Order: sequence, then structure tokens, then C-alpha cells
Amino acid sequence: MSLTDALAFLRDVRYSETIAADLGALDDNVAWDELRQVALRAGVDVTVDELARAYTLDWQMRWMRYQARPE
Amino acid sequence: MSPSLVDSLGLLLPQVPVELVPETERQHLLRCASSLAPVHYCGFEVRLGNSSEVDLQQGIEACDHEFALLRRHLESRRVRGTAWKGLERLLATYARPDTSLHGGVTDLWLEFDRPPKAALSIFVGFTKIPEPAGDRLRLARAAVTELAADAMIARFDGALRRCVEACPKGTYLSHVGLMLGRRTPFIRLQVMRPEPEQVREYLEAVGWRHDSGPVVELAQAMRERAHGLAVCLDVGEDVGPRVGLEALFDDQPPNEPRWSHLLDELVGRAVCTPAKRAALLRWPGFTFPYDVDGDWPADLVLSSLRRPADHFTSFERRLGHIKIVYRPGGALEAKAYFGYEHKWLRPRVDRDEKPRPARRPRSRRIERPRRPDMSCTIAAAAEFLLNCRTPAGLWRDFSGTLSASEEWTAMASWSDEWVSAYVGCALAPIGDREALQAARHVFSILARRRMPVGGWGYSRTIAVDGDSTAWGLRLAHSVDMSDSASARAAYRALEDHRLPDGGIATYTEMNCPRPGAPSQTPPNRSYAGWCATSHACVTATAAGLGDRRACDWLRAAQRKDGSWASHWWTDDEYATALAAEALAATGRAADRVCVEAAATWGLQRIGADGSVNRSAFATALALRTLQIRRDVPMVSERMKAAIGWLTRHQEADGGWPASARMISPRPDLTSRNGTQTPGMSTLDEARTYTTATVLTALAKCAG
Repeated sequence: MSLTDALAFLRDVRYSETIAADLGALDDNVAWDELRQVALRAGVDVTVDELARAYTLDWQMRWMRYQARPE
Repeated sequence: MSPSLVDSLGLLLPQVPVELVPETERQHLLRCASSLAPVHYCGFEVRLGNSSEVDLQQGIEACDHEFALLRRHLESRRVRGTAWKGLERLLATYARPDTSLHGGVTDLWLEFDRPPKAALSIFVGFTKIPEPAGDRLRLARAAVTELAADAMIARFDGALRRCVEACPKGTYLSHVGLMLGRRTPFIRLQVMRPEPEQVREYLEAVGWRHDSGPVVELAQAMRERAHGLAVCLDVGEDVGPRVGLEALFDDQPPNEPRWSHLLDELVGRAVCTPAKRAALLRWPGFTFPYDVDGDWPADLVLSSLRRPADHFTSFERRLGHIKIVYRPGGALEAKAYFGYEHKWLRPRVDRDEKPRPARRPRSRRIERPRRPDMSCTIAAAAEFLLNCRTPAGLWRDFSGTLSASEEWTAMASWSDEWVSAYVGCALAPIGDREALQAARHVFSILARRRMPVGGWGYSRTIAVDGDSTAWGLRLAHSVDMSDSASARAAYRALEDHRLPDGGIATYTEMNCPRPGAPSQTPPNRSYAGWCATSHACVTATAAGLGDRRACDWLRAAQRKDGSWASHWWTDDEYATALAAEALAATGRAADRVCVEAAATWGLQRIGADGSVNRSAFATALALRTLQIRRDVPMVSERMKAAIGWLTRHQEADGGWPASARMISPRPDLTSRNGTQTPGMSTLDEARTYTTATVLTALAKCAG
């Protein structure tokens, strides 16, 4: 699997009720490996490093899309 | 390794100028932070002279469940030591809603003096408003008693009482700190917002046995370069000689130039090095995930994934305040307090959260006849709502991007659970197969969300409330799912919101949110308006489920003019329509009188143009009230005028202009009394709530 898969997973999180429910069931006090387990249960085999890098990229892409800036 | 403060400190510490936190101190800070809860609100206390000493601080706010998180963290670590045990006691007491600490404590600060020695001091913050000295004294005593046990409060009580009771007009005790790690333990008190002359008055009143002249001169010099002051005193069996003066600012540099003016003054007095001055002014800003080497804290990533796509996790780097310590006969010492805290950023314009059409508009909408009949208007409205769904099939609204108060824009987010239930209720009964399918689909989503607890809330991240739960149940009835497991659980959740008077509270006391916005902070620490008061706009929704006790409450709550008061809406038409419909459904003769009174009130609300103040939302609700008595000729005539106005004001896409103004009144206010009350408000920018309301009214009239 790859960074691309991790990015696709992060996109799916916002549209899939199943993944959202899985995330909702996690304790707030979560570790990166537990986030990876959610990806695995969704059929996306990624490493923690790929998931963390994908999150940073996803953040940047969303930022560009929404043109967010501090109030 | 379990999550901790070090997850963020490890990312931010490389950004801290070495002039402020030397390399030699950093490992000590990281080690200290690795044992602290993952609450990412971190501060540094640095000496502005040549000393390299650094103290580490962690702030924990009463909102957003941070106290609960800290409590769980302490339990899991099985902490030892007097200070930690005291903190555990304080948190346990705070968790009980019947205690003064529950309503009065707003924040905690844990301070570690010069790690690795790391003696712990605990500061407890109270509501940031003046209140009677007796109330504040009780609160301070309660905090100290929990933190340090009775023996210490007995020793300090005389001086503590003097210091609280002597607070000059307009000032107040903001924090009480227990410096348990010091050789001789003492209490530190922070009194907010005195003017320089009040500093003199205060020091004399508390029995400070030194010449106050130099302190007042210092206070004047600081006040000229700051937005306000705070005074810090050390209190043991008596008031100690050391006085801390804090300069407070409302904004960060470079927006607020007075930071540099004060630091210039301190450099001139040789209590601040030029290098530290420059480093401090460089600190403010934001840190984003791509700015750091290392993984963003997992708890923040999880929180981000649970939020809408336009919520951005970030750390804001801020300067806190400058403190100058005066010791009679000693040299001045200047300190700076700065740090970072996690912050959610939102775009100014919530463009993409405006729901996107899920499919192409049908031509029939564009080709709507000039004088459409009611069925065409209803069909176009239904199509608008179907097009507004998110990809998952929900509806979202009230983002705070249209005519919203500043606080709503900055702090609140959209609703999906409550709005989806409401819109689903509007679509299900109109006799359109696709609309019914959409309503069933949204219930199937809602049904999975909160189980096994049951009930629904404003959105997934906000606690279950009585109103959303009642709307969810109404949706369950509309789609024949009222016997489902989630509906049964929701009925139990709704009952949890029942008050002794038979009405329905918006929140239960245990689940009542405590937003940090100033307009949502009750000056008296009471949340009675949110969790101990029945409101007609909530109770009427439950009454629509055939709830007998809710109907009883409504009968008693009807006003003399025939209306009911809306607490969460600007328009009383909302509560009145729902209440009148619920009572009309009972079939009781006595309720017919109530409904007639409501219809009479509704008649008066509709103006000559057929609208209520040109609001589609209020007009539709007045129409719903009138249609119950449509058999009366005068009512029927006015209904025609209202239907005409609504039809003429339907927009090309089938929706109506946003006019559902929701208010979040300050939590202590049990009634709005029809007047402007403190709070925050917004319109339904996606127009789903207004359109669903009009659709329901027209469908009832057509039925």
C-alpha cells in the first residue's frame, strides 16, 4: 500500500458512515497506531508513517481548497 | 507510549527561540511534559534578565471535557504526592454538579518550577467577572480545601479572607494558586484589573506592611503600556512582602504595539535583555502540521477527522503576559509568560459546506408556471431539500456564515443530527416516494449514531439534547421506526430531560455543554436556562409525540395573548405553531380553547402583505397555527394571503430565503421575555430549516 491509499482513506473518512462510526468509538486519548487500525478495518493497509504523512498532505490540500486563514 | 503533552511540546519546542528556552533546559521540559495529560495548552515562564531558568506550565480549561481527561490521566498514572492527590480531590469534587466548584472553576494551571526539580504548583481559575466577595471567598476556600486539606486552609484563612474582601470595586480574585512545592507552602492570589491607585488602596487594606509608593509608581508605568493590570500576592499566615504586577494585553504583537513599548521600558530599566525582548516579539503566530518535524498529535488528528473538512487543527503561539516582581529593598525581576495552545481554524467563507447538488436540477423547476399551484411549489421545495443533502445523505445548516454573531462564526459549527431530523420530518409525509426514501435513509444514519446511549444532539460532537432527541423521535414516527431499538433508547434519553414540572429541558445537568465564548459564560455560574428550565419550543416538540405531561406543561405555559415563548428562536411563531398543533391533536375540548387563542394570535401576526415581518420562516409557522382553524372564514382568508406571499417568495431553486434565526441565549437566562438577551445567533445559511418549515406548512394546508 502507499501514501496514495492513505490519502484516499482520509478522504473516505468524511463520507463513510462506517468509518466515522469506527472513529467515533475510539477513546479521545488515542495513539497513532489506533488510527492505523481504523484504516486497516476499512481495508486500507498503511503504516503509521504513511498515515501521518498523508494527514499533513490532506491538511494542506484542504487548506488550499477552503482558503482558510486565521480569523 | 501513551499520549501526553510531550506530543505537542516535542513539535513546538524547536520553534521556541533559544534566547528564551536554552538548549540545556529542553530535555528537562520534555521529560516533565511526557508525564502530563494530552491537553495541548502549554506555557513557559522565563526570566527576562540573564537567568536561564524556565518553568513549565500546562493549562486545562473546564470546557471540552478537559477536566475529565485530566482526571482519567491522573487515575491511570496512579499519581502520588500531596499536590497531585489534592488535584485529584479537586477534580472529583468539580465533577459533582451540586458543588460550587462545578459552576465556579473555569481553568487550572499546573506549574512546574525549574524542571528537573519540578515542584508542582496548582492554580485554580474562577469565572472572569466580579462577584460578591462572600461568594468568591467561598469558592477560593473550597478550592484550597480540596487541594491542600483542612489544616492549611485554617492557617491561611484569615489572610485569604482579608485579601478577597478587600478587592477594590471592579476587581476580582481571578486565580488562587497553591505553591506546595516551596520550602514554606503558601497561597498565591491573582486580583484582576485594578487601576494603579487601587493597587495602593488594596495593599493597605490587606495589611501589606511596606511602602506602597514604589509599587504604585511601577503600576502606573506598566498601566500606560498595557490594557490592564493584575496584582499577585503571596499569602501565608499573613500577606508576604513580594508583590507581582502583571501587564495584560488584549492582542498580540505586532497588532498590539504596547508589548514592544513595555519591553523597551524593561530593557531601559535593565531587567530585560535586548535579545529576550526581540525573541519574545518573534514568538506569536501559528504552527501547522507541515511546519513541524514529527507526527501531529494523534488525539488532534482523531478530533480533526471527526469534524467537518473545513476545521483545521493548528497551534497558536501566544504571549501571555509580563510580570514584574517587586520585593521591598530588593531588585526588580521581570518575567514573561508565553506558550501555545491548540486552536481550530475556520475559513472565513464556508463555501464548500454549502451543500452541493447531488444531482442535476430537473427542468420542471426552471419551467415552473408563473402562477404555480400548491403541488408544484411543494414539489420544488422537496427537490431543493433533496438536492441539499451531503454525500452521506444528511442535512447541515447553521454554520454561522450568514448574519451570524461573531462568536458563532468563530466558535460554533453546523448542525447535522438535529437539522437532519427536522428536515426528514418535513419530507416524510408529503407523499413523494423519493422524499420518503430520503427521510428513511437519514433515520437509518441517525439510528446508528448514538447507540447504545440513545438520543441525538445538535451534531455528532455535541451532547444529546432534548430537542434534537424529540425531533429524531418525530422522524422515527414519520418513517414507521418508532419501535426500533434506537427509538426506544431515544425515548429513555428524552425522559432524562424531563423536569419535575413535566416540561423538557434542553440538556441534562450532567451533559450540559460549557462553551467558552464570553456570551455563553454565565456570570452567576448557573446553567439553569439550558438544563433546569422547560422551554415551550422544546417541550412542544416532545408534545407532538403525544407526550401527555408535555401537553400539560404547554397548557400552563400559554401566554395570555395565546402564544408560547420561543427560547432558542427569535420568532415565537415557532413555539406557538408546535404547541398549537400538539394540543389540537389531543381532541380535548379544553385544548380547543388554547388552539383558538393561538390562532387569534397568529391572525394578528400576519401583516397586510401576507407575511410576518417578511420572514418566510415566521410566516410559515404562523400559517401552521392558522391552518388548525382553517374552518373559520377569517382565518381561511388570512391563510390565502400567507400562502400567496410564500409562493411568490419561493426562489428559483425551490428554497426560501434563510430566515430561521436561532439564538443561543446565555446559559443562566431562564427566559428571554421577548427582549434582546445576551447570547449568540445565526441564520440557516443553507436554507434547509426555513425551506423545511415552509414545506411542512404548505403540505399541511394542501392536505
